[in-house]
Amino acid sequence: MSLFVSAVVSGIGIGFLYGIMGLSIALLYKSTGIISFAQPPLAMLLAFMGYRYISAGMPLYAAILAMVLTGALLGVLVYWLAFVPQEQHGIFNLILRSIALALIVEQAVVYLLSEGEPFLFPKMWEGGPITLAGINVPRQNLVIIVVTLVLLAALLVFFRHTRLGLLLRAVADSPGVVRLLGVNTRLLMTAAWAVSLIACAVVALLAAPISLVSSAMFAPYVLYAFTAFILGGISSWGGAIAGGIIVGVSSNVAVVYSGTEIAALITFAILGAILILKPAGLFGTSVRERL
Amino acid sequence: MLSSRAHLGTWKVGVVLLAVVIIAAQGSSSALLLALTAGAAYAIAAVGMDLMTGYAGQPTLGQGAFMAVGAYASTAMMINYGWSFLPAVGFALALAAVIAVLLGLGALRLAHIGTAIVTFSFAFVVFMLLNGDLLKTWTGQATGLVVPAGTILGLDLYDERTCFYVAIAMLVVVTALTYAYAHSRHGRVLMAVKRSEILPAVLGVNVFTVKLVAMVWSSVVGALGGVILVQASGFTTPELFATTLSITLLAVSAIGGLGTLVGPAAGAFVYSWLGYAGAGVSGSGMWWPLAFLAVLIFSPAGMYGLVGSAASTVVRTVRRRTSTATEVTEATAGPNDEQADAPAQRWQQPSDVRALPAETEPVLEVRDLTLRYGGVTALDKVTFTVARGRIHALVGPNGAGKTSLLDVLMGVTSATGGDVLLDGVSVLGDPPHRRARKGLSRSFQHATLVPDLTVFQNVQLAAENGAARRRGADVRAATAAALTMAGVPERLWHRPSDELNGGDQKLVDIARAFVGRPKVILLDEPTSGVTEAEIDGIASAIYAACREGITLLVIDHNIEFVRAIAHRVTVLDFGRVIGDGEPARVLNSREVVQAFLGGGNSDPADSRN
Repeated sequence: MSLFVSAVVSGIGIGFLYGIMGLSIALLYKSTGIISFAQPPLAMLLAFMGYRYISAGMPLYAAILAMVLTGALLGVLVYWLAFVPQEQHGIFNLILRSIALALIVEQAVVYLLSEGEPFLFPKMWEGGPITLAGINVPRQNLVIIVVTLVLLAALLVFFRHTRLGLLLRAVADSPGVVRLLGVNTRLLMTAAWAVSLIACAVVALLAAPISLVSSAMFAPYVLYAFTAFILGGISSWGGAIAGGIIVGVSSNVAVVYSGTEIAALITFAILGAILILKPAGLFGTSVRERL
Repeated sequence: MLSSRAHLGTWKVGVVLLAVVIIAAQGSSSALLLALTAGAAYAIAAVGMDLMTGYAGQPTLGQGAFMAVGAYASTAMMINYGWSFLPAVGFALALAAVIAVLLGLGALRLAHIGTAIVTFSFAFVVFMLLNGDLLKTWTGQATGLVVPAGTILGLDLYDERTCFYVAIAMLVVVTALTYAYAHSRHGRVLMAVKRSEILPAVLGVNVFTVKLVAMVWSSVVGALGGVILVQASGFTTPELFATTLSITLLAVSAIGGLGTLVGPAAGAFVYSWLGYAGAGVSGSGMWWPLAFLAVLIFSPAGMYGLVGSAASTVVRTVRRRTSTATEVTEATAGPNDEQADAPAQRWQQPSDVRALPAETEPVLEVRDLTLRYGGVTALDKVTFTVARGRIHALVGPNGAGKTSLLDVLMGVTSATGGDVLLDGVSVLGDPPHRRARKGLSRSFQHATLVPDLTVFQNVQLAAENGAARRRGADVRAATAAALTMAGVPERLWHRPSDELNGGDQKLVDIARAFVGRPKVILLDEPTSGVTEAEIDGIASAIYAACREGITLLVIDHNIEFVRAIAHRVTVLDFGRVIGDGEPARVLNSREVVQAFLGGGNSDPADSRN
């Protein structure tokens, strides 16, 4: 029983990570219409950057702040270099670009940064597990939950109470109207990419102490984070987090009892089942094409 | 990404490519021969993938995983169960087909992105299983398996040169079959799916089935590529089928030119050849995706398209020089004769259309139709009846609910309440493609033509599907008749549809709605975005359809146009019917005039009522 409980507890922690990655994909999709396959490799790149900052002598918290800023900057760069030029080629073309970008980033890290991997990454809160109500909870799990809640609160404030955030929500609902209002949609898209990659930086800094920094660290996210994203209903942020927790807990329990392969198969089955039974996701509303 | 104009030379380019590959294979280097055989294997997989990605617009990121299914399943059957080569390959291909159906059931439900996500995840799961111990009896884990050489028709694949020629023969067969499929009725549907998922459904096609067939073919062909790859290499390891292989196959296909079959095949050969020529060059894994991105940005039709469009620009320039003079006179002559009349008079019903008796039986009945989104009521108990063989107009200011009504009628949106009867039978439970087959047809506000097809093929697509489902010569006759009826000039018929101006595109759209001889055609904003002269042509097309006995429901906001063409009009405002009857009476009623002018512009004395 205690094995089960601890599998669930650490599953929740990992689930939050899948959820933030799903959220990063969902909020980009909602404001730009692009499903990006490049987010997991970009998060990996950010983890490597964080490791470099620390090994260059930066204190941990300064390095974390630098990672977040690097994420924002990377988002701006990626959008302007890969998605702005000739964007009239259409959404199919833009989605393929994200696939190209995923492979570019992955290969670039492998060739330029990965020698000597995996690398250790310090924890924000060192020490053994903490006992809460008789259950052993790893400290990093608590860190993950707290940081995720802070991130969600920050996003909530950003999208509810800032002009840029409100415009981003408006552009998600009706891009045409926002353009008519005379708003610079380029600026909005730039902001969406920056926010999305800040979320990736957060995943990177939370995942790195557990999985170590390596070019394979986010490989499973292709399956797990996208399943979280689909479970959540592709445009719902809360849904992505909830989907992440479902995926994290179910796969972690499966890992403990029957190994990583069964866990992957179960998650893949969940992905298939949700698409067949409820393609709009557990928490989303159906999106339809307009002509 | 490439329109049909470029397909003309496909087979010639293919022959040149084959010749180059075969000549290159004549050297004595066995490493080069192996690279070219592997190139043929990748090319087979790429050609299969092109059907899904290039034609249907569903990016597949799991082709490498299907290659692995072919490679491992055939090898495992030979090693573990002593099967001979051909039955083992048959089993592997059948397994790939079953997996493709299972994946497709989930993937194809989510338009455009579903396939990419599911196949990408599939590639990850397969790579994991190849390395793991769950299936180790069949995979040999990280060390892989030694592949027993097969024999086909007495040809021993252990011989490198025989294996190469068998691979080339397979590639030719697969490419020819895929080409035939892509240019069949189903292939045209796939190209329409790429343009829009709703469009083919509205034309009466069960989109899901067509996509599933493409997915199965694409996957089976991928598995075949895998079989050949490991027959050439003599062993199979997980590293041969890493998740990056799937993306790389997509990359080389896009660089070659998606939607051309030959382009992806050429890309695959070049990829394999560079692997041989540049082995050991550091960072070489980065150059493919970089080239992929560059192609997506600067030449989305790929290398094939770059060459093809250069050639077609030359042809078009020559053609334009010779034909400009006649086109100009044609374009100005028509409308100018009638320019003396005010537009509304020119659009007036001709006497035979006006003379149709007012009362006929109802063909379409809308009863208490209600639609709510969250707190907004888009349609509020909308009720009206459309008489058979008449022109019925539906008007209303912006936001009145016209588009919502159209979406509910076609089945794109589900109603909250009420009913819609076609010939007395409710159609609300039917999905869009079944309503189309029962005789509901529509045009689009922004003419939604498939850019990869010619004008004629766009209409042909509707003629072969939906209620009509004609075949062969019948299709071409019906298509020609519909284009003539709609007044599309014959010189435009075999032009790529994206070269037409807005007015002509609308006429093609009307021809497409008409070709299946539906019971009712719904015309969505036929006059929006076109010039007054072009509206003349649209009015004529509407009258021509009416003379054929087809009922038309015209949704529009051009009051003068509606007043001129309609036998009867229904007015919507804020989701409610505020007027229904003869145009002259209804459109002059105070309530309707006010709705169109808006509260702010009307006389204060009126608004008190």
